[in-house]
Amino acid sequence: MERRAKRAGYLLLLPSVLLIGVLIVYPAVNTIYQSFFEIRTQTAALGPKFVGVKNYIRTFHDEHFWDTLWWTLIFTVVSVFIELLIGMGLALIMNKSIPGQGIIRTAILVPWAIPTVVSGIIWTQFFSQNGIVNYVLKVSNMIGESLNWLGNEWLAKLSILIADVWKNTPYMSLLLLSGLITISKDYYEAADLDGAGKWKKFTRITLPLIRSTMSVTILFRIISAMRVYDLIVAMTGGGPAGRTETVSMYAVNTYFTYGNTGYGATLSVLMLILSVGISLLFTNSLKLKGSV
Amino acid sequence: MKQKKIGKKIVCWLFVILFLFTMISPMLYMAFASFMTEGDLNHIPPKLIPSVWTLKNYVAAFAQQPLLKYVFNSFVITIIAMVICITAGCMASYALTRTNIRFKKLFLVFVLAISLLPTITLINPIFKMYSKFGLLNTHIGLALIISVLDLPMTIWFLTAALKGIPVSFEESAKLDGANLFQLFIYVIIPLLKASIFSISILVFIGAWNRFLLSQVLNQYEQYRTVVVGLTLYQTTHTIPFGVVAAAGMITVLPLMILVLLFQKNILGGIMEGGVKE
Amino acid sequence: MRTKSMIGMVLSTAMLATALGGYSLTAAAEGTETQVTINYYGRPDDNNVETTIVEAFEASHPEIHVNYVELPDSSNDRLMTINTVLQAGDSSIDVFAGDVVWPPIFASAGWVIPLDDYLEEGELDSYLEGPLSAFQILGNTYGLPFMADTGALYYRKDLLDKYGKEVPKTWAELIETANEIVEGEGDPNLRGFASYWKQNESLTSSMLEIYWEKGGQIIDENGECVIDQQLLEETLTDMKNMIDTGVAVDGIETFDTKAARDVVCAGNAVFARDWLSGYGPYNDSETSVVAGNMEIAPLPSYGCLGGWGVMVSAYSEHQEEAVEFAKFRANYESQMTAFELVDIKPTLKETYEDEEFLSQNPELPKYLPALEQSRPRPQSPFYAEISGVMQLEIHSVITGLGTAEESAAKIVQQVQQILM
Repeated sequence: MERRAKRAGYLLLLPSVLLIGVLIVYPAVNTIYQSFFEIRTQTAALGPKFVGVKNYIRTFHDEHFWDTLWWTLIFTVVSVFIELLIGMGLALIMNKSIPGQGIIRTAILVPWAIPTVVSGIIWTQFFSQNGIVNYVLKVSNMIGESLNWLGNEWLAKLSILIADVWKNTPYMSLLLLSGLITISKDYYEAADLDGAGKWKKFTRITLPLIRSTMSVTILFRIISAMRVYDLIVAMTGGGPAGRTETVSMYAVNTYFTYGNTGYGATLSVLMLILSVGISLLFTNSLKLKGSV
Repeated sequence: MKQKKIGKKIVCWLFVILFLFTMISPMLYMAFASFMTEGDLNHIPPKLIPSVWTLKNYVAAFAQQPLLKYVFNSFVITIIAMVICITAGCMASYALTRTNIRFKKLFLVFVLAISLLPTITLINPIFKMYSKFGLLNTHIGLALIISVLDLPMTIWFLTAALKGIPVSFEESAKLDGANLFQLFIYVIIPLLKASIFSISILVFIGAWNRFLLSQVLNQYEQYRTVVVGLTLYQTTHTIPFGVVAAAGMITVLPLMILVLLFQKNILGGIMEGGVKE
Repeated sequence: MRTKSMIGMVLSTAMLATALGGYSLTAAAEGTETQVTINYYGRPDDNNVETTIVEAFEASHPEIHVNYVELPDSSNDRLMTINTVLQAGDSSIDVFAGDVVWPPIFASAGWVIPLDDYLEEGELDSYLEGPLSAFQILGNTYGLPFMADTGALYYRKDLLDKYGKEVPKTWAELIETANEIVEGEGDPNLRGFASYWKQNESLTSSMLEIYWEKGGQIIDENGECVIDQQLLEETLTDMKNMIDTGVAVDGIETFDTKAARDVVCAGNAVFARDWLSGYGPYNDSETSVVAGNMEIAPLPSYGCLGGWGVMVSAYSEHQEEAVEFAKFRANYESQMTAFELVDIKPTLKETYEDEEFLSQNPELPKYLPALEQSRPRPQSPFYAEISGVMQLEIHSVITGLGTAEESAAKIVQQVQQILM
């Protein structure tokens, strides 16, 4: 019996292993390999040149890389944190049986469903000098003159955060909701009998029971946030003065616009190492040891 | 006491409504913009509601690009990707939580690590590979790579969900003589309905919105997806926002209707059923 | 059971989809058996311009079928796709439309073939020198230009006439005239100068145009860095001053083409720096308040050469046919078609001398002065990276995040490193 279960287990795992192995592992190995070479479009006729760790050493001195990295990390932490708070609130609301529940849930998914191409254009319009946000703020007398949302470093960062939180909170709330649903009502009923208040119920029942779902959600959201690209390109193009440029934008530019494949691969490998580090932190906190 | 409670509730509700409105406002703007004339769209100060309603943008949206074909392509590719991803994901998560194969933790971490590779690094190798095997400009080719991108998240998520479901259900089914396949279809999947639904929606929308890979792998018009098609409305430095808004509306509305229908069917039911012991 | 029917539905849809997806290239992409099919990665099909030209070609060349693949308008997006295909050495691209700044990169990568062997004596003379020079590297011609573009100065004729001012010949004059008119008009919304100084390629172009007036160069014939740091610093200071003194429209450092054009069309700018394609929108009576009053002139000193041309891939398996199409795409008929359908300015000398053509399109000669006074951007294979560095530093100065002195120094240092 046991051996059959084992074999069945491996068989079940096979499709995933195949898919990931062929389509992701191969490019990954390829990229790591390339990061040790100097491969540039401009010298493509000469072929790749082995340079060992030269590319990696270059990143140490690459001010732009560290600037973009720092901003990427801050952006990730802040946006995920805000999305977690709001997402949790929304999930709690969506969990209740209220009239119009279906419409509320659909409405909450709207930001996620609009293609980034379009929402990028919309948010650029909203925050532009003569855009809707300035218009509304002026009309309601909150500001006298138009704010330079996309030209001022901090306002630009804020506007990107707002757009990103808007776009991704639905993702968070949906995943958290599915975790909430699996919590049996009995726990809450028992707590009510004991006279527990809302906050206590939340912290003592809800939070512990959705811990694994929440951790996975946060983890993947962090990874996604670190890769943000389309939205920022559409809104600020990395400006002002490259202050809102993220590591992935720098990598894309290096790969395609500057034609420096070798260095682009190096940047990607570094991003990979960083993401792995963060994930390991989470894996430990999930305490997989006992449960899998 | 009661008044205080009602007052609090109303304030709470106002917040919620205000918040929901903010969530929808960009879409509202897009909706209105799709009916605006160019003069209105370029107007300074910006106009929120069209002064003249026009259908020109919708006509242009269909005339300038084969929008329906793009939507069809996106649907086909996304559904294939979703099916592959969820199926492989369910199977894998079951194997990871209910069987005693070795290297479970290693597999999970490996799957995660490998998924952290930035998508841009996939473009060149996958292009070369697909070119060799004739998978460029097909539905199945793009669907395969897209499905793999969300596979790690799916596996992790379903694994976490399955862990939270007590084994007792399956034990009783096994006692009744169910084999693995029946176990899967009749016990596991119904229990995981909420999670599968949530992750399906996310995989669906994620696949729908994939840009870089769709642009590079499916370059020919017959196989182009809608997100790439949307970028083709731009001409000589300017974006005809009205037309793009109209095309955007056409893209988003079917998605919304789908979600509205599905969520009622599945999520609604689970509330009553629950995972009662 | 409901779940079962749902699974069934999804599975059958998936199977149907897979069956459909199993189809490879359909007939539209392939030709018939005796035809040669070539893939043309062209510009956006605005007003069906590309498909019209393709059809005309196929009519006169029945043995060649052209599969037209549309790419987005953004130069960087196109570069990404074309780059990926050529880097893989893939033969899916035969002929493609390229930005005027690409030839140095593609030529040094060996991804495009020189067309000289396929051209007859004197055939190249029919093209305007400026646009053609961008495609000529080390004596070889790697592409044929079919769209002429340059940075140009736009001005409000009515306002200049009202104050008896001449079209400015220097940037200093421009600022002076602008200030005088703005003060005289007393309109709080009116500004002296509008353009788009968002952090992208156009920003580098704008900076170069001012830098060139001062006599500065970026690279010499050997591809080495010859930036005059002092002049560069002055240029950056000038640009910052335009913003600080209010000559430049508010928010110019965040503007893309559309935002800047909106300002001009609302009648809020005396001067504007824009590509040639701005002339149409500025004078479109339906959307512009100042239609009929915006005229065009060359920029003080030089404008940045822009535009597009057609190039042939070195990996193409049908090079002869591809060159046939390339020549057709850049010939007289095609350029006339493009001009009529989408107002793309031609690159052939005869179009600007043909009496009949001019009588039907009287505004055409207006573009010539600007085109004749245009200069290509530094022709280095590393231009993209150089421009990237410059964009960042220029933007840093004009948004006040850095000083002109620091940024000029950084630019010189980084460009030297790139060109090392």
